[in-house]
Amino acid sequence: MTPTKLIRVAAMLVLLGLLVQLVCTFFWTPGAFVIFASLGLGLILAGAALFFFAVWRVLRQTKAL
Amino acid sequence: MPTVIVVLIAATAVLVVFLAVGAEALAQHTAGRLVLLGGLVILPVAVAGTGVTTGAVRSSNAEFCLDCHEMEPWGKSLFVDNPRSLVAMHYQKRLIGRDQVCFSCHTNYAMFGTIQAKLNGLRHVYYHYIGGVPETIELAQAYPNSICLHCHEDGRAYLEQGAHDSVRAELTENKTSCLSCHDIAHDMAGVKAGNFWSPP
Ligand code: HEC
Ligand code: HEC
Ligand code: HEC
Repeated sequence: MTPTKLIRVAAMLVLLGLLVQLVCTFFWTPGAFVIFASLGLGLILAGAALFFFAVWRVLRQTKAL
Repeated sequence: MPTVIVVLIAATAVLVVFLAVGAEALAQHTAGRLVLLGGLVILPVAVAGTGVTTGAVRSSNAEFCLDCHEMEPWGKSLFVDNPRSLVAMHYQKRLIGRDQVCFSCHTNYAMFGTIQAKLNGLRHVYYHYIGGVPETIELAQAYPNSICLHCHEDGRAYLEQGAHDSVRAELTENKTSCLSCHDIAHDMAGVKAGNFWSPP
């Protein structure tokens, strides 16, 4: 996958996480909070990890690391 | 959730869409790459983290406890007209904070006690949605004196009450329960009978 594509996938994960959280805020119950914190935050952190992976790969390919 | 946080989440989501579209161009130069880092990682993590923290703090509110219909009778027990009921008395005399009325008596004040209480709560959320709620609801462990003593240990009324003198050491060591004498916590019979206090 090209770096741009990886970053776009990372952005989609982050977006998905934010949308999950947004939906949860409209049905705020104890269960919604658990999903907000687990699935929502989890997707966002997964996106962030993928973003850093893409950056790391570019740096390695350009011999900057 | 406070409106500010909802708006921030929505705005961040819109920003993420724009950054994803412009990722190719932005990745060409250093400033653009920093914008990607800020908009795709730092901002979303900060906003979502704030949301989770706010939600965790608010889960100490009685409103949150009473969200589950299973807790309704215990919520009603705050209003029973019975001065001997510890719960009704503390609540109606405003001896403990109104917002966190359940949490004040149902958390563990030891180190990491709040985290432990939240993890227990997580298990209750599981029972509510998936595991099934038991027929009779009771505490998982006997109610520890340490919670009462967190507020009362060095309080004048508790210390000066002669009835405690003979058992004070046992109370501190949790060998005799406060509830062995102060024996009505939630007056559930009063709830059933509909015996509620109403303001004059
Ligand atoms: C003044 C302190 C106090 C407050 C405030 C309080 N509780 Fe309790 N609660 C107790 C004690 C003490 C027990 C243990 C009773 C026993 O073991 O006999 C208990 C027990 C319970 C139980 C287990 C079932 C039972 O009746 O033994 C539930 C459920 C419960 N409380 C829910 C709540 C909810 C919901 C709120 C807020 C509306 C709340 N409590 C507020 C002290 C309190
Ligand atoms: C969050 C703090 C807090 C907790 C927890 C708490 N209390 Fe209290 N309680 C108070 C305050 C404040 C008063 C009023 C001042 C006083 O009497 O010391 C009070 C008053 C009392 C009184 C006197 C009631 C009256 O008629 O004036 C009794 C009895 C009592 N508490 C027992 C208990 C027992 C038993 C527990 C544990 C199940 C408990 N309390 C937990 C704060 C607390
Ligand atoms: C041996 C029985 C007994 C035990 C055990 C006991 N109490 Fe009491 N307590 C009494 C009696 C009797 C009174 C006076 C009547 C009343 O207020 O209910 C009293 C009164 C109080 C008062 C109000 C004092 C006043 O004069 O207004 C507080 C506060 C209190 N108890 C807290 C506690 C706490 C906290 C525990 C557990 C650590 C506890 N008690 C355990 C018997 C007991």
